[in-house]
Amino acid sequence: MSTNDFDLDQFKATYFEECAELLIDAETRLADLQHNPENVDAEDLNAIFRVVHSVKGGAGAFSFDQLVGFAHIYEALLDRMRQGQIQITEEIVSLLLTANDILTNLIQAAQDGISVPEEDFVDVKNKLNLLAFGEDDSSPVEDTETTATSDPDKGLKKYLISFIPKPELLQHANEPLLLVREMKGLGDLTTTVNTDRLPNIQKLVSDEAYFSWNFELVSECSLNDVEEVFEFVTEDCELEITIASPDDTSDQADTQEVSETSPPQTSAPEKSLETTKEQAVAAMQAPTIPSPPPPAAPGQAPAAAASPAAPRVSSIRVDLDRVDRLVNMVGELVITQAMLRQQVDNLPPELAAFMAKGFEDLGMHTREIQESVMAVRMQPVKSVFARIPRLVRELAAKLGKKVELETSGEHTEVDKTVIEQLSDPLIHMIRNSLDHGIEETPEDRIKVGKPELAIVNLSAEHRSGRIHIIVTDDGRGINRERVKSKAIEKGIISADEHLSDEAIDDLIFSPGFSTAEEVTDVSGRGVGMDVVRRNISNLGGRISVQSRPGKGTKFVMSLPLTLAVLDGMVVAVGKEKFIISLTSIIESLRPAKTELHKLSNGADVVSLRGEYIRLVRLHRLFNIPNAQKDPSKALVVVVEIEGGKQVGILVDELLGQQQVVIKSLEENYDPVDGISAATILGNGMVALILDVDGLDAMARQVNHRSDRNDLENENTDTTLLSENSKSLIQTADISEEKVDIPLSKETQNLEVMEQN
Amino acid sequence: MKLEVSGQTATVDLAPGLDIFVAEELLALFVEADNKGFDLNINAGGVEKASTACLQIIHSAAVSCIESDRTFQITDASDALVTSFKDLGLYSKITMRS
Repeated sequence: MSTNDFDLDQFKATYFEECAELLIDAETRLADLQHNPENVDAEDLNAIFRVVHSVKGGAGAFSFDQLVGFAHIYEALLDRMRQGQIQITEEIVSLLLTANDILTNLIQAAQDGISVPEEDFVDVKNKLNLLAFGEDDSSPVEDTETTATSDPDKGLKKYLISFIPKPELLQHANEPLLLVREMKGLGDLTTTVNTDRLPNIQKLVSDEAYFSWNFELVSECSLNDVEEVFEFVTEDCELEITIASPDDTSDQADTQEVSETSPPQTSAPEKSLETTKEQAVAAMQAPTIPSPPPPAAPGQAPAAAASPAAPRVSSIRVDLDRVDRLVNMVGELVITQAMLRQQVDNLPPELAAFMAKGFEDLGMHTREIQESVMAVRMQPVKSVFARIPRLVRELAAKLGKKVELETSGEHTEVDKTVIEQLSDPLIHMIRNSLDHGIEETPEDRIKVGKPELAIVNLSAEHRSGRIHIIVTDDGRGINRERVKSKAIEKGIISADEHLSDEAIDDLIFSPGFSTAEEVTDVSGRGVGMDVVRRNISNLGGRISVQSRPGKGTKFVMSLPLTLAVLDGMVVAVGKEKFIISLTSIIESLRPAKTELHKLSNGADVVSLRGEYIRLVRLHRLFNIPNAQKDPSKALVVVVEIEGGKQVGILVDELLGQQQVVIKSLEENYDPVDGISAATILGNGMVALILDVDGLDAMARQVNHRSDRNDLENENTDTTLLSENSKSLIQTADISEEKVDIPLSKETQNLEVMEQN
Repeated sequence: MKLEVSGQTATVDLAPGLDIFVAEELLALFVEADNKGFDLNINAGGVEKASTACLQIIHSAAVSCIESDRTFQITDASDALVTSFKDLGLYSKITMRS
């Protein structure tokens, strides 16, 4: 590798990733401060300080001067706060939150290679300056290194610092040069290096630390300031800092300045090299070179012999692309294993039995690998939740409402792919709760006997192999009369339609629906909740709403824990095979004829333990020939859909459980009604994964239209089949490499009339 | 970076960024020169940034050369390199000649 090939960008990328994590941590802790400014946890302040300090340190390494300048002032203020020199008030915390925003913007600007106009944050910078340094206009970057020495309250002190790096110090991205330069900024520094541990070039390991140092620092700064220099290397070194009398400063002969102009103090004969000052020649001199270290004991590395045991590294940073590749390969492994397993059935019985045992073990190990790999990508939802307190605070201020956010379950883990998709719908739900859910003013709440402080609760939990994100508010609930009249006005429902309370509540997810009297810039133009539902649905999730008038509203968002694999039940309908997610299946049964009923709108229901469950006929929805149409001869798979409701999916038979690798339709083709994704079965065939909520909606639409338009044709079935669904089912019989769907991407629904 | 050999002397033009990430490459060059018994001439005019890892290697290469009676010299050292030597306290081990 030549140095020209060396690309700093990869390290910058790591820095920005770390910044993102650090900012989340700072945001969370600032939210804690905001929540309880009177009773601040010192560790929160220390942690926020460390965040800003780390951001500043990295920014300095990459010469992001604007970022360094701002971070320095911000850090200085935090330092004064944690030392108790500045009292923490709501105003100060608010300033810190704003400073954190600016820090975020500056990091983003550094990442984009641009600078932020100074006037965009000069006011905040001046406020920080005033608090941190007692001045309104500082030059932070220039002042950075002298701040500590300019405090007249502090006397001149001499620090004696022994710094012995452990061999792995450099491997942990620590650089002694930077430490030295930071110390130089604190005062007069004398550096004495010890090269005793440096081995012969043949034995040297390029990234191990061999040098050690003794520093003498004469400075007015505090011991804390000196310790901070080594804050991030304490685990990778032996460090001793002592304070000597200032009078001792005069007897140091072996200073850098002396050594630069004088021959080194040495007892060995000098071997000088041909050098000239004009050429800025620097030649190493033999006598100053220490003797090689004594040979290491057999089997013992020289550096290791001189150093204490390396600290245990409990985590490493791995590029996400690598993890994704691993996940994909495990997915392929799962498919291959399923394919091999299927081949066993074709073997002679004695061989099949032998192979079956092997495949059982293979299957178990494959699943373990898959679960372990997926666990690598699992992240707590905390990273998403961390943005919400700020959002609530700002929205509440904007809307003139008093709102407190309660959160729980932020450590609940979910796949990173889900995390990435979670943020937008969650923000929209929170906005909706604050804008529409909570009463207009605190006075309005008092009038109805509620405390003026409204509560919005955000929680996450694992339930039935899925993650549930729940947003609850104690606001006014959904005004059903208004929702219904609005739905009629917009033509979403007919005026004479009778809907249950739940169905009315569900109308808020209808496209273009809004009951807001005026458009606000908080919840937008009422197109949000349908988009939220669609986005969640695209993730294989569902969202439901429960509301009690005057009491509040509860949104429940249910998402799969991962978007990579799925435990599914393979079912057959005609010659087609489909996958139903195991987590949604409640039971399967073959109903007796007496349990089957037909409603006036043509909908089929099955009576199950006193309850009627709507039947979804897959063969009708997808126009599948040769399927079993008589429910009493077929099987009904009862699944749970949004809102805890149940529907029965009519299938010919259950073929067995199988873990399948999810192949996105959105990425490879287009969204298809009733289908959430595709997969490849063990025999190489493509199978479609059913979206049970989508199927229910399709079936309802069929019945709804049938009911409204053609009641006299009671014997006529209406098949609702999207163009994409039809095409996909036609191609599902071909192998993966042949999946090439030469169809229009139109998604409008076609109504196909079919005689039963 | 690579070794340019002329007679008994191997010359290395140091990279502008002597980060820890080029340390292994630098070490390999010096080990090769050591194995072949070359005198070492380090052209350091282009160095813009240095790291402790690389300075250790340069120092060790110098020790190895001098211990085996070979010549080691750094020519045209950039301010960045000289400053780095100074900061680490290694400049006391350097003689300047005019």
